[in-house]
Amino acid sequence: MFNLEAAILEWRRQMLSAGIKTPVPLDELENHLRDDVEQRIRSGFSEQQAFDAAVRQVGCANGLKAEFQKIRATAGRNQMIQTIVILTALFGTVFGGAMMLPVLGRWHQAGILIWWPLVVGAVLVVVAGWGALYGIRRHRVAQGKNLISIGAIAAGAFYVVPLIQSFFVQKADLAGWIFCAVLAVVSVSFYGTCLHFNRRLSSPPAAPGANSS
Amino acid sequence: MLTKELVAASTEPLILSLLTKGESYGYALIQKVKQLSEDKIGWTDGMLYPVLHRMECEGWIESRWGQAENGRKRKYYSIKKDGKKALKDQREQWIAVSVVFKRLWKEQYV
Repeated sequence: MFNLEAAILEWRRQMLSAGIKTPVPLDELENHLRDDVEQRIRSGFSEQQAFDAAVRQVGCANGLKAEFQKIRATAGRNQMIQTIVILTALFGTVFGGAMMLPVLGRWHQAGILIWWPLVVGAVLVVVAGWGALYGIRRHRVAQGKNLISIGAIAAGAFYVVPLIQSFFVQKADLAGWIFCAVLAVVSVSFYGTCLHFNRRLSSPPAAPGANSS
Repeated sequence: MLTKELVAASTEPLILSLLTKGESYGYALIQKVKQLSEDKIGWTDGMLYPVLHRMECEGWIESRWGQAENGRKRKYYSIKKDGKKALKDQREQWIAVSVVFKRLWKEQYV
């Protein structure tokens, strides 16, 4: 005599042994299976026929495991890549800016000792910025939004603070003042653009294992 | 029956569209899609859940455990603000494709 509860228990055991982790996905799948079995029984199937058909319709354990693993792997990888990208961008922007800003006070002076930090700093800011934009476009994850928002505020503050300071410092260098203002605008605009792209970009579609061919 | 590729591409907008009508759960979503497509869109039922989980990771939908009429616990999904935005974008894309086909086939067959 067919025992539905025992059959579901056995199905659950097979899913577990195939690597479908409990509790969330497996509980959800079991609920789905039970709904389908009930529906089929109402349509006139026997318990065993309903169970067998429902199990086939849910799909095999290995296929499901592979799909869940893909999501976990993709989410984990995306999060890691985006964290690295954002940290690199922040480091590049802040470190590059830190190399540039002291030079601004001696803007009018010449010589390699003055110009090399400015050039290296500018390159760091640009490379880090574009790296962030590229990384965010390629590896969008929802959690990245908060990091980018923090980045936008931090980068903005980094350039805006010396700008405000220049108001209170006597004989402030005009070129430095203007340069800080431009950097502040560019930096905030850049991170704002990143944030905008991050919100707008959609992910590539994933199939729920189409039956159709 | 629709091709695998087309089914794959339409999964997210279908789920998001259904969820704009109110919260729902996996089995009900599948039944609704079957009904609306007159069985032309057939998902392997279990494979819907990884997609739902991924969409939840994206921040498009959220879920909660509730109790069904039969007393069993059930996971309900609902659309979030970002999901509505994503649906708006995807809807525009599908409409654009549809308009092109309509124009093309109108010229060809009328």
